[in-house]
Amino acid sequence: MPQGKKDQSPITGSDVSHVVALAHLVIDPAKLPIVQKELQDSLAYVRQVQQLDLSAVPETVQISGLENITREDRVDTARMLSQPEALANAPRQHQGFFMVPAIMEV
Amino acid sequence: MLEQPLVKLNSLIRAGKLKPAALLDEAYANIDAYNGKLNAYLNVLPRAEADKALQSAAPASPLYGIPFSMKDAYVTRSLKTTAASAVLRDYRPQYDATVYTRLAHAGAILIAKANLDAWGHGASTENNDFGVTRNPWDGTRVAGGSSGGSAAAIAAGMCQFSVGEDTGGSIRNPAAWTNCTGLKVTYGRVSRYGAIAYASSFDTVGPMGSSVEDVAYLLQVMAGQDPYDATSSPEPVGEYVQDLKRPVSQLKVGIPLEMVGEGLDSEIKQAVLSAADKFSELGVEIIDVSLPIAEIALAAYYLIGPSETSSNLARYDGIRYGQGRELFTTESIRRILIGTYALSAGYYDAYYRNAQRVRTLLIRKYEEAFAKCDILLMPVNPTHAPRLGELVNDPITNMLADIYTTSINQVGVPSLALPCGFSREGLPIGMQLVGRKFGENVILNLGYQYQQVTDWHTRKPQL
Repeated sequence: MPQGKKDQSPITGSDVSHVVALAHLVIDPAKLPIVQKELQDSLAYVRQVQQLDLSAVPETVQISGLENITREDRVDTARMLSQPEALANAPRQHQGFFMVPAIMEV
Repeated sequence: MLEQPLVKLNSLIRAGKLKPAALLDEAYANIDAYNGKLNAYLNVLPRAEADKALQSAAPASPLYGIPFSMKDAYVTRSLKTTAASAVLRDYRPQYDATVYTRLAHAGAILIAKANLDAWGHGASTENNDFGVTRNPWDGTRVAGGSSGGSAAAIAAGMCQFSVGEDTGGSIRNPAAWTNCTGLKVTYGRVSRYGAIAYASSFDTVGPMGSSVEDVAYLLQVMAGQDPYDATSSPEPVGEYVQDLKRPVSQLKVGIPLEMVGEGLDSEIKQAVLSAADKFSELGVEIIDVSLPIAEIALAAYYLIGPSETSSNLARYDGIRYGQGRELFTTESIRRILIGTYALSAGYYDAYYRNAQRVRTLLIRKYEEAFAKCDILLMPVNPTHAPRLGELVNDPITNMLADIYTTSINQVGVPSLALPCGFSREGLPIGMQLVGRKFGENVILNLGYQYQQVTDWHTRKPQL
């Protein structure tokens, strides 16, 4: 796996599968070659960011100019959802709980 | 009446010469007449509910009775919210976006949710699951994006104003291609609470309407710190309306030479430079500046934006709300994948971190430019509104449509898009007035004075 500040390697089919899995996406296998090509084309364009000498330039993470915004640790009932409200859009619920996909075999 | 200035509508209503119900009549009539063809709106509030909202509104409030729409990227309890994606096709929010709450509190009446490129991913309102939005000026062309529905609705009299959202140009692009006026605010100027996130360090909430004056009135209502949005700014809200009337003769406007050169349609260039001549007539000094950053900014945007969106869209897991992830569109999948790749182990330094460093360079370049002038004048779009299908099917061309707009979101400064002419074929052309952070009053001032001596913005399409 490449490390460091420059990467010009081509995107392989297994790179695409890896990224698709990381992103929890579901893509029709027949479409993967097109996805690979488009990802390759896009990366070819954005790789410009590697051409400049950025060694002395710090990163900008956000531009609000703000830090450590806090509030009083007090319940704001105006923002609370009741349990039925919270569940209102759930596709699957059980006795007042959201149902989630199983992550362990029982 | 809906294309009349807010000031005028407000004074007619207060004087009893105009019933707010008449404005609703007009908006709903135009929706019936035009939405079928334009597909500007995804969801329209039943008239009876709009009437109820009008009854609860306070007659003394500043926007009393004014019908408005919102890009369907803002959660509203009264109307389903979809982000124009099948993933949220049945989502009924349990809370309201702050921008909605402020406008409703000011008496305005929400009547519809407007079409967009899903999640904000696009510049043409074609990347979505509920149909494209057509340009009211030419139905074979796009209205722009991603706030295309909002722009088309204003141009077609389907509302008096709309709330758009701008992450890489999404208010300015459609405003320019539909002859509307739209404001991308300073990052943090307007609360993002309830705005469906695309790229959290770029996203801004902004007003769109028929004039700079209206946009200033709307900003006055919308702006200000919100305890529900930790990134919203404590910077005091300016006197946007009052400052409109200030003289502009002390202002210096810089034109970045690189942005009116190669790659820009010649008619658009001509219209933008003519606007500079108009500013000179108003006593403004015009100077040349250098901002050689458009391409590198686009590259950084298409790394940072997708990275942030890959993170923001991870929440759509179909568990608490929404459908499955297999329903994302091709363009949204592209962006999620680029972002996931750019953030993944082994590639993070080469892509995401380098893009963040480029962002610092952009900020420095804009600071250098603003040391020499108060406002930057730029085009909005490099071309006229493309025909349907031209942009959305070519990922690279799609990217390049944003070439003049994305650097502004990365730096966080405000930019006002307003009409400055028409092409030979009658297509609207817009320009950007870019200001310093929290300098909305300065760009609104110049835009307002420009609209006092020109009438591009008053023209409406033949529908």
